[in-house]
Amino acid sequence: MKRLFLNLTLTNPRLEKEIRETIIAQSNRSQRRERQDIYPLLEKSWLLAPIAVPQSQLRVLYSGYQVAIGQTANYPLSLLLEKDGQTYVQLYSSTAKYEASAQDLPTVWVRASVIFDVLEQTPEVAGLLLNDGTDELMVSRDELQRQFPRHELVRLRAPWYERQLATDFPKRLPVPGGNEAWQTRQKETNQISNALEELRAKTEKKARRAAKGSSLHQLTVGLLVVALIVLMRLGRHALLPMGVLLFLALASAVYGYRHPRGRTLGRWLVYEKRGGLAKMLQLEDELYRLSAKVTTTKPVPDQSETRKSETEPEQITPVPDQHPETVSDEEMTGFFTAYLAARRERKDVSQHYDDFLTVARYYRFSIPKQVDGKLAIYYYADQDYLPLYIAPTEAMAPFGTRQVTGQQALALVAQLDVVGVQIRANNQRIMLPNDILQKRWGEEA
Amino acid sequence: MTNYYVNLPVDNSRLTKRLRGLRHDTDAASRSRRLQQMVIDFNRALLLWPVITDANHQIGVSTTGQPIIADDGSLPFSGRTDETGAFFPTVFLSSEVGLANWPDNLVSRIDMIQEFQRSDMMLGGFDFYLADGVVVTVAEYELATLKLVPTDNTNTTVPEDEPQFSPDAMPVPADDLGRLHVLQQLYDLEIEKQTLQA
Repeated sequence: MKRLFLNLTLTNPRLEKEIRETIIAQSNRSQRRERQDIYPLLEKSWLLAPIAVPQSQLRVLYSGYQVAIGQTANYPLSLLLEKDGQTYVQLYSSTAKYEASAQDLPTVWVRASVIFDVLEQTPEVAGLLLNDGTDELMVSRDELQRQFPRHELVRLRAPWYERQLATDFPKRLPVPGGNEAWQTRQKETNQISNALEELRAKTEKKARRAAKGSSLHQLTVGLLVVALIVLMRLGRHALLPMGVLLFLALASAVYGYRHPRGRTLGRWLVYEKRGGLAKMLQLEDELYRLSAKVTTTKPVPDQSETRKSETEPEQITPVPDQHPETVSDEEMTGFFTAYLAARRERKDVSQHYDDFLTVARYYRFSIPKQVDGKLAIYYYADQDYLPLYIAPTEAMAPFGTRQVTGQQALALVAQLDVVGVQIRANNQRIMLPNDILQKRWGEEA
Repeated sequence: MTNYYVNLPVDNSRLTKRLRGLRHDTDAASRSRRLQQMVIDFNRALLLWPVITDANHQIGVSTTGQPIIADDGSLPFSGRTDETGAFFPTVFLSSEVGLANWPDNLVSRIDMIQEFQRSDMMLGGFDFYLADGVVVTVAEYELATLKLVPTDNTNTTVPEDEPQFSPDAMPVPADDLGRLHVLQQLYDLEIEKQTLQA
């Protein structure tokens, strides 16, 4: 699990100056020799690359940094760009240039050597395209390979994320004035607050206009009045056309009517649609989270339920269908998981609970032994329990086991002076205190 | 519902060292012996649990300015699931490792392990993340053989008399929170600047 910083501001004034000069040199035919100065710079500079991170893996730290979490190494860089029928590797020299390209993926800092990873993996790539949309500079595949001999690149050829994570990115929350990144960050947040201020002014203006009422509404009300006057003047000769006009005016008046909260009916429908979209995105996010299997909840079982089923009037314990001594591991595990599943889903557990305890009375559990051959004791906080396993694996009982039925376990519990048993299978466990055991597995049951 | 502090400075150097030693024990006997020796360190330990914040579980701020989170029994934790479906929650032992790996880490004492054991989930064990990427996994059935009772001075739950969330808490999406905090800081700085200039 790693944290990868996204959208860190990058400026590259020297490289950008060089890019502009190279572009001018390329367009200037009188210049014989092509400019070569850009290549050593390109090798040294950081560049911006778009990266495809699933929405659910994005987080914003308290410091305002946006990060990607999880197996960041696996998130692919989005480097390929189709342009004029050819495929290029796209990289950007600064945040400003990237924003001008109107892409909406987050970015990471990379070294120019990522180009060569792509060139090797995808033969159809024609070359490098720097700063798509602004100061576009194309470098062909041949030129790249001539300018960057293979042996010189070796020291730069670690996977891109390792290079990024190993370099000078803030591991801790940044200190004001501590580094350049923080200062650019401050500028960025300043911009955001300015933009917010503008937005607030705009909405205020809108609200003021809304208070006056929609212009469409005013217009149609006017039309309505005119239509009424004409209708009264001309009488029944104009009934049909005026009726149609009246209807249209009425309809548009209703449609354009602005609610005091500033929404027309038409707008309102659009809002609803947007709400639906947001809901859909949210669901998609949840699905992603579920499929990624990194999360779980920790539901605490409702102890009162177990107790409740105990206080219910004792029914006559049903005798299991088959001969009780032959309860197999699979059957026992089945009863065990059925009870736990019901408990997890907060359904009525009493039937499952009855079945489970009845069968368990005759099942042969395995109690793991300790190194010295004594029976193992498991603890829950400071309470000691006797572990009863249903089909344990080798690792769970490395020093052998002792087989006992539920009834025999009851005797052991008294002898060892423990508070109860933990029945375990499938990495799950049910804890049963002594009094319940006595009632269920004792002689009178 | 219990409130826990988030991202408190934590450092369990002794437990970390001992867990590191556990990697070299392959046979069950020496593993269990070594674990038994760690009981006192476990009892004194403060653990960091990476939590996944969502609409219902968000980081709040206590009146003393500490970030806190409420555990209502369905707080999602981060971890891995093995091929049998058993879950292994991630545990960080120091805030340095925790903060480098995850933005929000609930701080609890060792009894959080028992909370997990009490649940109905398939709990395989715990992944302890040490520094430099070393992960030591301790199976649940190994931990169950230890008598773990946290010492009194390790309580990290937020005291009752401290109101849990600041009163004007609005339903803000978690991702926007960080940005808003920065904006508020900027605003405060701006005010300060103006008063200084005046």
